[in-house]
Amino acid sequence: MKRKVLILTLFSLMVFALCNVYAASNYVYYGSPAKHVKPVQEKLKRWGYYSGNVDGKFGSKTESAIKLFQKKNGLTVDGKAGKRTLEKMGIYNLFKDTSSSASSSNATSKTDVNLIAKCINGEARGEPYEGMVAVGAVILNRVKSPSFPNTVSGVVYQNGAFDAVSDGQVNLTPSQSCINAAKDAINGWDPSGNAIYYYNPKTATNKWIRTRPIIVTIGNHVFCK
Amino acid sequence: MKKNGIYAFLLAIIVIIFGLFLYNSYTKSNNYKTSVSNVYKKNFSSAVEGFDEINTDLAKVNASNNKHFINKELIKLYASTQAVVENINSIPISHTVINNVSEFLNKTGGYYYSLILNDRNLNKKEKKNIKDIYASSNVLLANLRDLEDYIENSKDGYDWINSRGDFYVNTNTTRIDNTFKTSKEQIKEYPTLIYDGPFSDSMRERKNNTYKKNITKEEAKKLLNKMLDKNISLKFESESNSNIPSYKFKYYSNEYTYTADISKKGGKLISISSNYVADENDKISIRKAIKIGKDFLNDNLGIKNMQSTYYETFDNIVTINYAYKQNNVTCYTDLIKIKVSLADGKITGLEGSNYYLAHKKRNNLKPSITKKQARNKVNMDLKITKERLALIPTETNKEKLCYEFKGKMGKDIFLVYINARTGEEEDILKVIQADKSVLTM
Repeated sequence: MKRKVLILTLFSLMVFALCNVYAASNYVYYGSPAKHVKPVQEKLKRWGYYSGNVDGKFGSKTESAIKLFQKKNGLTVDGKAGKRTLEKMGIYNLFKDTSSSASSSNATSKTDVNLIAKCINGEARGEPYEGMVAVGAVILNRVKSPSFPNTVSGVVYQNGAFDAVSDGQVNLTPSQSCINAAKDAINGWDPSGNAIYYYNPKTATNKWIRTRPIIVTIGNHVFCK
Repeated sequence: MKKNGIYAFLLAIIVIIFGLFLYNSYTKSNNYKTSVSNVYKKNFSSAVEGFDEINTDLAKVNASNNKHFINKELIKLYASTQAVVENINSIPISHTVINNVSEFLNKTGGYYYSLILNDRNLNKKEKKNIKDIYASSNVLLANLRDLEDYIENSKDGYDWINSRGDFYVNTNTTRIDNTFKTSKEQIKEYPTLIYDGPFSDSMRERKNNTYKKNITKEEAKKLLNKMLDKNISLKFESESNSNIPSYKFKYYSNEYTYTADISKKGGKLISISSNYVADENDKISIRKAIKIGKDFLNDNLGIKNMQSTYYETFDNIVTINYAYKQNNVTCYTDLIKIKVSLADGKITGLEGSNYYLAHKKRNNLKPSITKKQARNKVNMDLKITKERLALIPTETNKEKLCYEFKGKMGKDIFLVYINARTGEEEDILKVIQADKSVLTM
């Protein structure tokens, strides 16, 4: 019994140590934080290298999937997703703090992409892709509108503005398609047609919102002026 | 008997523990409630205080006749406007007054800014505007005070946590809203015409009157098949009543879903979006991708003279900006964005609303000052690497003919725009260098 406890303690200490070692490095391997492991798993799964769950935990399955990916793409086969592997996956910029947007306008930064993606994830998961972009566009239209705060964070965190913020779903890690949708919205795609409100006609309880002139319906959401 | 005693004892302990637990969580949640409420209260009080100050400053501007004094006050006004907007927007009350104040501040803040930039005495019209703004601010301040009173004097204290109710303004469901029904009518029409910044209503209602002919759904479908691919089967989705009224069609290609919007007026392709995901093999070079997009514009849409100005790669898909080129002027106003997959060269997205709304034949694209004169206006420390004529859009929807200078200063790359008519420095953009985005200039 005592031995078991000892072994367990040692084991958890080791895991802990590993975590610390790899959290600070710039490749994805055992013990890497979930926010780094997830996109790697997602990519690998999409391309058929990985069959496990996208759970953000780096396991042996993830390792062998990376090895397979590296082998197929002529990279050093070490099971660690380093700079070159991540670049090949097209997600190296996720790990850098620098802005990936080269738009020289005052509009948006990397933080904004993430925040919008998170909001889309909470609000419009399950919606068609176009509907996701539209939700992102509504956030940006609100930033421009005088009736709303003037920053992305101000709009997203405005009290009661988004259900996903009120119930904390905004804190979930956004899926890749939400990030893509956020990017598209920032790049000027606006399927909502300049909308600043939207609602789900099946669940909306607010009477006032139903009086707004409707612009377009996408999936389950009605977008309006 | 003894056994019963033990049970009773155990029960008592459980009850006590449970009680302690309840008490503990009750005090805890009360503490949370208090601290959150305090933040809201503070923000609300600051907002009222700040608005009061704005009101006073407006009165001063209204009364003064001295250029320097007015400019000083306007700068103060602009700064406090920004601060109060922040505070007012973080208050969890859905209320007409809150909304009116926020809108008032945003619109007037932009106006003060434009007055500061003018750097001269206020003219008659501007004086009148300030007077109107001041009158509106009096009404709004009174409303804010009423709301403050209501909150201060509500029985058992105002419940900040559970009162948030519906966010949407003007709703009849919010209980305190009814008291202030008339406020919107009381507010003197503060300037809507004088101010045409990005928030102006005219901006949102941008329209293009070039295209007159309305097309039917069937014609739209035929046109789309001609533009995209005659073999795809298009399914009508819905109509959009945006400022570009359009038909929305859906189609599939491989396992991906695409939607395409085509304008009712003129039957032009407005946008394509899709959930397409590229695999990791970049078989197509960027240069090839740029050509694919250009050919699509040229051959399929009949849009000629488009030149790529910028591209950005993300997830093995490149998003390319194309601007219309007339004579030697790059018209950033007439912009089309196209997404091309580097895995298979497919076009996976298109955004053409800017082009649709802005494009027209422009007659007067001749600069009044020479390139050399313009170059002399640029900061000497900027090492100019490239220069050209460009038509740039402004926030107010006007177009300005400028000389565009690309240059380096230290590590940073800048684009400087010198007005080709007045020689004014219109704008400076700092190019944010990212690993996969390139300015093709």
